[in-house]
Amino acid sequence: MSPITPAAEKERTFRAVYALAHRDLERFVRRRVGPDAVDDVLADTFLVVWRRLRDVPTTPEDARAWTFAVARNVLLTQRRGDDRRHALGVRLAAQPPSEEDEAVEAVEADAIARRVDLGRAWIFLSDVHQEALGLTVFEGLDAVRAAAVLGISPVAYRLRLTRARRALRLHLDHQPQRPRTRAAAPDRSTR
Amino acid sequence: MNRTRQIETALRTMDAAPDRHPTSNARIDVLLERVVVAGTAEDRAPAPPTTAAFAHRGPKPRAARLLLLTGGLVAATTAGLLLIPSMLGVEESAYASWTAVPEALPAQERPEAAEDCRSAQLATPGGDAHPQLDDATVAIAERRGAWITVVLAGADGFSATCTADASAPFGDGWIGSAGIPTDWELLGPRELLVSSLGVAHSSGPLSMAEGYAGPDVTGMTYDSAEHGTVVATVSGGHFAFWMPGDELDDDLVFTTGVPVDVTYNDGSTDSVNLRF
Repeated sequence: MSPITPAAEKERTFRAVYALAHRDLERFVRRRVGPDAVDDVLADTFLVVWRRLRDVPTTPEDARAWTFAVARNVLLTQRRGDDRRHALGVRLAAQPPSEEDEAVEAVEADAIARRVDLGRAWIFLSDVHQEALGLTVFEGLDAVRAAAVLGISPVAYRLRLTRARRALRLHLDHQPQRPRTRAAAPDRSTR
Repeated sequence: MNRTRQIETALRTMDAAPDRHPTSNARIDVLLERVVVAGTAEDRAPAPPTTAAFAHRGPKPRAARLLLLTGGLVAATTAGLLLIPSMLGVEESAYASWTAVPEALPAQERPEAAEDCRSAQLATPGGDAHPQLDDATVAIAERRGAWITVVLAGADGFSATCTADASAPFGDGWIGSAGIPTDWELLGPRELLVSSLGVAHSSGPLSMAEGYAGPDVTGMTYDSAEHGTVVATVSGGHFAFWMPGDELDDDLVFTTGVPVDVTYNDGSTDSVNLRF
């Protein structure tokens, strides 16, 4: 058996990292850009991964977060010049889940109304707050890994997350009342 | 369930990328092969630069960014900066002689180094678009092992940079740039203006920072994770340092910037982030 060349070893390692990271990374990107841009962003991101293969963390969870950080930097770098920002906003689903979805067979009209409220409140969040919440809520990262994605300390991330949650609650609580479709107890908790 | 959890549970039902609709395996495989082909090609042969963007912002002058090349000429998109063909087929071992602390090129060697740089720039397609090269004088001439860096300075902010392996004929492979930053103006005494900041991906990555320095700036160092303290040459209103590796990558350049320690003529120091 002929020895494995460095190039072949690199390719093998990359394919393993790709297999590990691709699905979650695609979801990360799809939450932050329109569907037409996803493939190009993923290609650019994985090319950076290829170049920096020796920097990929060895544990799967750390490697996952590391690829998110690379994708984030790819996206921020693409937004240079006047439009350059320092945080990535997170998109929400435009439509509620389809009626065929088992999970929503029993969705009530009130729940749909709450989701609309939540969607509106989310829009009022800053990119910084959307980003902080998104890493916890959608990517499921703990504070240490979320902080690593953003390049800040875990303490700074926890503070940012706390403020983001507070901001979201404030926006939710200051929306106009809408008529309910059924006679039900008010869904606002007492503060 | 407390309110935060309720809200976040509801948010998860609004995920823009639910896992209910996974991407097809065919599409996943196509992307994988696309990246493997591109990455392998990049490793095997000199590759064109990944970007050639030049950032200019606000009233303050901002120079175009040099994307250190691995081969082929890239025309500047703004500000008349010309990017020069670079080190073709350079192996990482070529950087083995590199030193973190530069030596000033001896006085008797400077004219020849300057002429070599000038000739190489003029010989590059589009190089004759810079008549300022004829009258440009040597602002920086340093040696790091076998490598020489020359910065020529001309009128109205013109500058031309060449970095070459002096152990081989100059024309065999070198990197550099030439031009004038958009809206260039004289710097304040302690100001810095970046003209080149980034990484070239050849068979050996190389990171460079180069630009203009106000008259009170006398020294600059960069604390490299890989190489320790890298000392810049500060001379003639310019600064320059470079090192093997890809430490000054986009992640750094376009986020926090490149942190350097700057020394001034009154002995004071300051930490500054180099960025466009």
